Amino acid sequence: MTERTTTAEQDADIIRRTGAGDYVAFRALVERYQGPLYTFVLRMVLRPPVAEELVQEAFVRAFRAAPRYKPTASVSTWLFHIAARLAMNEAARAHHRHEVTRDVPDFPAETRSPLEEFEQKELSRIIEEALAQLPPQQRAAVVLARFEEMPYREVGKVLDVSEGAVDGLLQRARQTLARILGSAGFHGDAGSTEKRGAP
Amino acid sequence: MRCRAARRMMSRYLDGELPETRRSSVDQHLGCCPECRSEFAAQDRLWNLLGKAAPAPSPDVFAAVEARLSERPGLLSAFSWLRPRHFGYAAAAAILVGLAILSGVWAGTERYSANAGEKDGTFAELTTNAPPGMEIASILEEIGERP
Repeated sequence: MTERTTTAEQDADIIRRTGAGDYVAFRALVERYQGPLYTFVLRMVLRPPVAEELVQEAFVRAFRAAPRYKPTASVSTWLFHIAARLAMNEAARAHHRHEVTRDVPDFPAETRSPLEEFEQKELSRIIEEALAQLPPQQRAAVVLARFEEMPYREVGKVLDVSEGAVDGLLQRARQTLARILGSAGFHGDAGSTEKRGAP
Repeated sequence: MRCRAARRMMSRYLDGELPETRRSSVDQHLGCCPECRSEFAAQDRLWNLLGKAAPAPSPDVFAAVEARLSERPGLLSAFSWLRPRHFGYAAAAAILVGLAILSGVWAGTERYSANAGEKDGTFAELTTNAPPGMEIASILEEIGERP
């Protein structure tokens, strides 16, 4: 039995118990997924207080919907789907209000020296600002595929689109990001240590 | 394969989403097209650059979720007694209810015994005074004690 299968089975058990009103199981669900959901939503809305509120709301909705959960998708995909709808609505509202997001979160650095820490923070800030300029659906596709490392099939389920549509979203997002980051002086020369199937 | 077709598959190629046969076709094209090779390499570096953005530390949202559920009637109240910190109260309440039921049953049994004695007397009187040949069933029906 693979680790992924075990997690999926544990998740299915947790959601079944949550649906039956088991408060301890619901707490386990929140503790397991609050990190990934918060990171995803924060990258969508870029405001920590708003992201926190949306994650809370996502769990409230998940709790209410748990008795009706059907295992057509994994619990992880189901939760991301709930959070994505909330995050994309908020991102779209901000987009229509033409809000210029400058409340970029202070992502922690995993480097050693103060200079490296500064560079890491600066790089994170530039990347987050570049992401913020993408339309919400493209942004969500990038965050799920790149940061959450979801397969296109899963991304499609989260965003309610086909795999082909995910491919299109990512292609357009890549072109936009290349233009934005290129004009900021970044050409992706920071090393290629984590590539997946690169030439 | 032409450049346009290769670039259409670039995203899936870089993300490892392309089937092996198509992947081989793209590889063949990249082997003989420096422009596409350069474009693919730039996009791959861009994707890796994005990965350099550190993940944000997550706050513990459970207490806030719990509060939100409590604000909405019917969501949490159905099983709020299951909360670990309420187990003591729930157990004490169950014991009290149990004692109340037991004392009620005991008192009821006492009364029932007394009533049963009266009924026994009635029944005995009826059966004693019953005309010959009267069925026991009809006597019971008369006093409302159908078998």
